[in-house]
Amino acid sequence: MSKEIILGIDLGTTFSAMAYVDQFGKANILPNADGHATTPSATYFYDVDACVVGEEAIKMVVVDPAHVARFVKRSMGEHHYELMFFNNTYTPQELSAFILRKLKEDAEEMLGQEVTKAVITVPAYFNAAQRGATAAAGELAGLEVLSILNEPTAAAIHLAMDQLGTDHRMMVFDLGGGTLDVTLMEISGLELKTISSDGNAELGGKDWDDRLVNHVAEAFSVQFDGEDPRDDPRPYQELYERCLQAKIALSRQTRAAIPVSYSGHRTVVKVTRDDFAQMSADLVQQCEDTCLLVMEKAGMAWSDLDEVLLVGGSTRMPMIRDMLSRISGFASFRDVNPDEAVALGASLVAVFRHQTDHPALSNYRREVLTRAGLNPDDRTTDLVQLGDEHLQQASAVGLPPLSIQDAASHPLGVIVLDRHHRERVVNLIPEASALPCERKSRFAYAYDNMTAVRVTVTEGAGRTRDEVAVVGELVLDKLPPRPRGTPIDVVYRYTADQILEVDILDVQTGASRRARINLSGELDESRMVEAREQVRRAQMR
Amino acid sequence: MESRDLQQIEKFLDQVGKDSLFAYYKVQQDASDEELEGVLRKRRGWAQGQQANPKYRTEAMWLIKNNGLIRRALLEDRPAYTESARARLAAGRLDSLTPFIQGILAAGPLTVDGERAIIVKGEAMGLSPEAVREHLGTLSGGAVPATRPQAAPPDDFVDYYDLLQVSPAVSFDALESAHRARYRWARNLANKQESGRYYDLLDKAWRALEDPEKRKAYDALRASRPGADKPALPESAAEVPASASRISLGAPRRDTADTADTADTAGPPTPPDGIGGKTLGLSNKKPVGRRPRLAIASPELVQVKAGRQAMTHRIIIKNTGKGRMPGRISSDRKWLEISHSRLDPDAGEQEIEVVIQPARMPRRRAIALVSIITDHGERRAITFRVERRSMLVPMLGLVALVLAILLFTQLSTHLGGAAP
Repeated sequence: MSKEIILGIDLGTTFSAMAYVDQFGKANILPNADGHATTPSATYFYDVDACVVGEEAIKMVVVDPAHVARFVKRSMGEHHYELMFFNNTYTPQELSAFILRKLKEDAEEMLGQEVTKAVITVPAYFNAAQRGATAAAGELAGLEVLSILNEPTAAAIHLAMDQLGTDHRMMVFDLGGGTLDVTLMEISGLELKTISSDGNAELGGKDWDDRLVNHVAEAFSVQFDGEDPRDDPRPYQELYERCLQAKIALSRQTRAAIPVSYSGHRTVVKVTRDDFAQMSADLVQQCEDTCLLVMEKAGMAWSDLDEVLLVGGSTRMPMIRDMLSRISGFASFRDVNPDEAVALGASLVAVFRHQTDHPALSNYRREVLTRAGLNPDDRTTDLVQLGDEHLQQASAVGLPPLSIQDAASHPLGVIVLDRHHRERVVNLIPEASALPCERKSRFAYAYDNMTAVRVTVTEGAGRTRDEVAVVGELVLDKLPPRPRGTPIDVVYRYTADQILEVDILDVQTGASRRARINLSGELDESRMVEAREQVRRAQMR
Repeated sequence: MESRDLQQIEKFLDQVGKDSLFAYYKVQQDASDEELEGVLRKRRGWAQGQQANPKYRTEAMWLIKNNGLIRRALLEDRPAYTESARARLAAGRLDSLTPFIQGILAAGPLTVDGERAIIVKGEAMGLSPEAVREHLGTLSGGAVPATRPQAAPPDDFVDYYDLLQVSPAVSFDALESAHRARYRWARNLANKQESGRYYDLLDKAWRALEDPEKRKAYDALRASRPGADKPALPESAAEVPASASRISLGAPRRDTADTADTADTAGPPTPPDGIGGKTLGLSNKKPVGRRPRLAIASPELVQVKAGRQAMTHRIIIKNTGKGRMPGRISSDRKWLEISHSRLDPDAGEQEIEVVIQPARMPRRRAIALVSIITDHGERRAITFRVERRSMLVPMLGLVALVLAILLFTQLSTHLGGAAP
């Protein structure tokens, strides 16, 4: 095989998966070196610069929890989160890079060729900093990250390939190990569009595990006079693994028994599926609320949907399926391999977007165009319909004109002073605006004789400085002193690459200032060089 | 260290219930850097292992994310942090010293002995004399001399109302009965010398107050004295400090030897004289025999079956020792609410109401702990095992009843129709 392969990587909170498109155009999951379709997202550090990723790391968690990095995705894009192993500190970017490096090296082994390019997925709810951090992780692992793709989009592409070319509306319900993403998507003709999306970066299968852990630990503590297995990291990890297995078992059977032993005591805590449903009822409620919110944001009724797609391992839980059937009215859901759909979708997007000369594509294009009622031999049809430059380029060489439009996942705003000189956040770009977009708003001098105005750019929903994240700042100075109320225009332009351009314009004098704010969590250059070295020199085999 | 950083540390310490980072890491303030490095590394390993543990997640994540801050506080800028930790500790302790000081101030002007008592008590709590004096200054509203006056003139004014434990506006009848009650109390003192002293004082008080004219004169004299307009404290709150100052106010001095005797009685507590002989600054122990003791008079394991309605339960807390017993009460579950978060320090026996909200329980059976922690270091926990009764049986009963009624009315209309 001489053809270059672009990996589609689902970098998950608990499990990661990768896929590629073979020469016949079929997306395949690429198993890791152990032969498993998914790789646990965990890294165990044996020693200075010696670590292992995957199953082996999970085994070590029970023995040596202090040297295992897990659930790193939940801390992605956080500035101060660093773990220390043998006097080296590691950022979430680096820790994710180890996982990606493992995937890359396994892929090379399985495919027998070098792999340097990848499309990595992130939850739709990730903000720009978290996306940037993910891209940086890929780069540190020696991968050229061609796109950062939303997980529900990827899953939808995989599961809805058959529907391309028709009109189809669906909800993608993605409950993974650490994140919840609910997205409404629409396929209209040859376009795949995100209608609305919401989620919770802090809700995932892990929370269900925690409920079981708490339940078992409390039962144990009552039986044995306050002894709590959670108090010691090792017994806790053991308990956690057992609860995890019990959770999975409870999806198949109605009862499970969890053995616990700690500080010389031993017992078995029995949990039925109903008990489990009861102790996690509020988590299911949160999922339900998110679904309803997404429907409300889109202004749609359940009857407008054609189907609900389930993605993510946690959607195997019967309580989630029951809840979705109850609110949506659909009796069954499509969930072809919920663990793998995202990676498969990502590999398809990799080919559509970045490997337009792939041999399988011309056949596929023909099929899709026929389904859409267009003449597959007329190469100009789709060019007229869609002006996107990607598509023009792609269509010229035979790509199905698949357009993917994402929306702003978080509102962008500016901090202003209100009438009473209190700080307030005004959102210029609302959440779910289709990208790219531009918004202009007029503000005014808050005091007499100001000579400079400052625009503080915020990200996130909220009304006060504490509720949002400040992502940038721009000052227009050397202004002539003028009275209170002098108008100032602020323009936000948010590009498809998630770059924000901010303009400040003094309406009277015409003075202006422009800044490009990269809303990404990339490390600065010197740290990046250091990190690259740190990831590169680690022995992983 | 910026104040923002310090605030962040304090917030964390509040969450984990520790006074300072030194206490959290269980190290001395003057520990060597190597020792601290070791302790920090060990705890960090713990945090990395426990960051996903639901019970410790918040704590572990804070430690991981604020590693730089902790290192700044404990290693790079230790003096600044130590200062702030000391201030935090002192502020907390000054707060608990305040009622004592107010008691002494309410009893009359501050005397040497009164001040000494305050300082000794402050030192027992680990406060420096300077800090106590400064706090005293702000409380008394005037500057307190930085150096203690060595020979303050003996002051023979005695606040008889305070002695009789009544308010100055009390009626003659109440005054008389208070006098009689106080007399009885003095007679019952184990220490006969002490009793004699109180007989004298009570006689003087009666002579000064029995006649309305004399009482008016006494009131005028009393009002002219500084500190007299301080609000009279409720009897119980004034207990310790008021009597301490009362003794110092011109009352005959007693020997140090008396202390042990009086401490066992319900009478006036250890006077400052008893510990006055010791060098200030060395006395770190609390006065002997004045320890409160925590006891729970209600069951320590409460098993409740509840419907969905909130229900209340009462915990009875007793102080079987001596002296005030400040402390805190907390519940570890949101569905279990407590009427007070603090103990009434002066009550010998108090009732705490616990409201159980079964509807808010995460599942049908749940356990909550109510912890009672006193400032003097005792702790007790009361376990609540609550089971929420299923509503199914009563609901079924209700449905059956409604059906029966329906059936009956149906039947009776049929019968009624058939009669003619």
